[in-house]
Amino acid sequence: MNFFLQQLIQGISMGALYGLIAIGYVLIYNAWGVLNFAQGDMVMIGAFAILIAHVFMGLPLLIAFPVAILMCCIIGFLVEISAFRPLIDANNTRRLIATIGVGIFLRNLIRVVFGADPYPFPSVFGNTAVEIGGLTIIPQNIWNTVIGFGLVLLLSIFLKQTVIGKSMRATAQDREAARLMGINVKRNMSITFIISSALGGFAGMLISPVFFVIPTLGTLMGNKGFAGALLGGITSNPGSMIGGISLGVLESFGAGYFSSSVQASISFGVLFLVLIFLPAGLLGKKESRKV
Amino acid sequence: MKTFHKIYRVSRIWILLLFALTLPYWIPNNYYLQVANLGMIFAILTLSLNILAGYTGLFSVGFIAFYGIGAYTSAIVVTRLGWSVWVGFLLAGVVSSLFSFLLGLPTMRLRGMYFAVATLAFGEITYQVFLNWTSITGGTKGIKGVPSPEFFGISLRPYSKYFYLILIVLVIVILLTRNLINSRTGRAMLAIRENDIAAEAMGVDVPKFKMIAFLIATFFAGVAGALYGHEVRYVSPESFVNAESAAVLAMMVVGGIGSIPGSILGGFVLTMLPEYLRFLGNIRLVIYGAAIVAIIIFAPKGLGGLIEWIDGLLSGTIKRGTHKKITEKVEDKNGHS
Repeated sequence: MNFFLQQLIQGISMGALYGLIAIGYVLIYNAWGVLNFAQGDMVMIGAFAILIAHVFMGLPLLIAFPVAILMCCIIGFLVEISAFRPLIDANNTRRLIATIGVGIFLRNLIRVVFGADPYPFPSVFGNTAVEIGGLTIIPQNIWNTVIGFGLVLLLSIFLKQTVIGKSMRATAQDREAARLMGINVKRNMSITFIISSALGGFAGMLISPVFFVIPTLGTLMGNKGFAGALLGGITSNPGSMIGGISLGVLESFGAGYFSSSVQASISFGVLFLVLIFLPAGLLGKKESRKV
Repeated sequence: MKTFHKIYRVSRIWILLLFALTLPYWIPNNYYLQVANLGMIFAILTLSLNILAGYTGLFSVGFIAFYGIGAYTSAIVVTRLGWSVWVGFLLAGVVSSLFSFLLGLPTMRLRGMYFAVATLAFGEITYQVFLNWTSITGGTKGIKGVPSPEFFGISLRPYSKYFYLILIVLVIVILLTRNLINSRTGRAMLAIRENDIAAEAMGVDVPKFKMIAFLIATFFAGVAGALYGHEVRYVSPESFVNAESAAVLAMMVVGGIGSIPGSILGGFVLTMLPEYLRFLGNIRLVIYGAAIVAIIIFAPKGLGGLIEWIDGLLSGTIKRGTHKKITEKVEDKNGHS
């Protein structure tokens, strides 16, 4: 029983991070109509941003975190304004290719600058396990879960309660109508990209003490976030969190009860099964499409 | 001026063919000859991706997997089972198509974007299989000593001879692609690309024609993989990593989506260019990424558009054939494509 709970906690903490990445995919999908293949690479950018701020520049964590988030926002904004904004009226094919191109660019730029070798990152909340009621718990995992859920909660409050959030949702629903209602669609697009870059980057910062910081982190985590987003239904914000956590728990049980080599293939397995049997995901609406 | 246009129109294909046939003599160095061969192999691969992505609108993000399956199939049957290299070439295409059939069964009913996701996962899994199924694929060490083909006792091992084999395959693939696009099947594929719902409403069996495009494209990709394996005579997983899929995608976009001459030029130029720009080193893929974005924004027709324009000027007519009308991009303001 203890083993079961242990795996569950481990899974939820990883899953919360997958959910954070997944929400970035969902936000951009809703606003822009295509999957952002560069979202995973924003996770990697986030990990490198905190590495630069904390390890290379030696800033204390409380300052390093905001600095790194600011870096992610700036990079997200630069990407949006240079690669995505010119295509605001283009068809989906061109947008999809643009996101793939941005992903290739970011991944290899970081690899050229920092090399392909992994950088270790010091633990933030301590790696010494704590015994609570017979369970060994690593503080980092608990904090990841708390922060992950906290951010998602904040995001949903932001989207539901603030004027900017409401106009973002309006833009996602119908761009033309939103424009007619006097909403600044271009600014909204920028804000959407900046928020999803920051969320992806934040996930990267939380992952870096658990994983190594490496240029291919984006592909690895991007795939998981992707699978989580699809499992939850690509259009639903709460769905992506549920999808991410389900994926994390599945992975954790797979690694615990079978072997760790199973873990890597679980996200791909989930991806295929969802695509075949449940294309709308757990909470997604079935899209009706028109010509 | 009129006579010039006339002469050009009659002679352009022969000039091109003459240039292609004499190319090995233009390239002084054996090393660059090998690179030119690789460029032509990538041209075949790019063209096959274009059948899938450019003409049918199915974006494959892990396309290098089928190239890898082809290379491994041929290398395995030739080195382990001792079969003829020519059988290896054919089997490479068939096995590659077989895998695309299995992948296509569940995914052909999905929209293009989901298909891209599925192929991404497939590419990743295929690489893992190449890497870890040591008893068959040799793991990280790969398969060494893949033999060169022989043609009636003439060894095609020298790059200058192997060149002609690749050229023949390339010409066959070009002709088949051109005929395919102008056939009933090809028009169905174009209709699916422009709007799958409209195509379905017009009576096009969308999953069936998507599958046909997928099978044809992966067959060519498999053959290209086998050509690669027998040229470098060594097959290892590192040649089929995801970054290579990105490179092929870049070749297609730079060459021009849905353009046959563009694909060939894109494959050739993007293979040759890094060799001449060696000092750039790893920046190759950074530039590819930026080039994809820049071309998709500023010149969605890529090099193919440029060739079409020059060709139109030289032959005196900016052609307005039926083919071009069909392939013209329909820009949808609402972003529903």
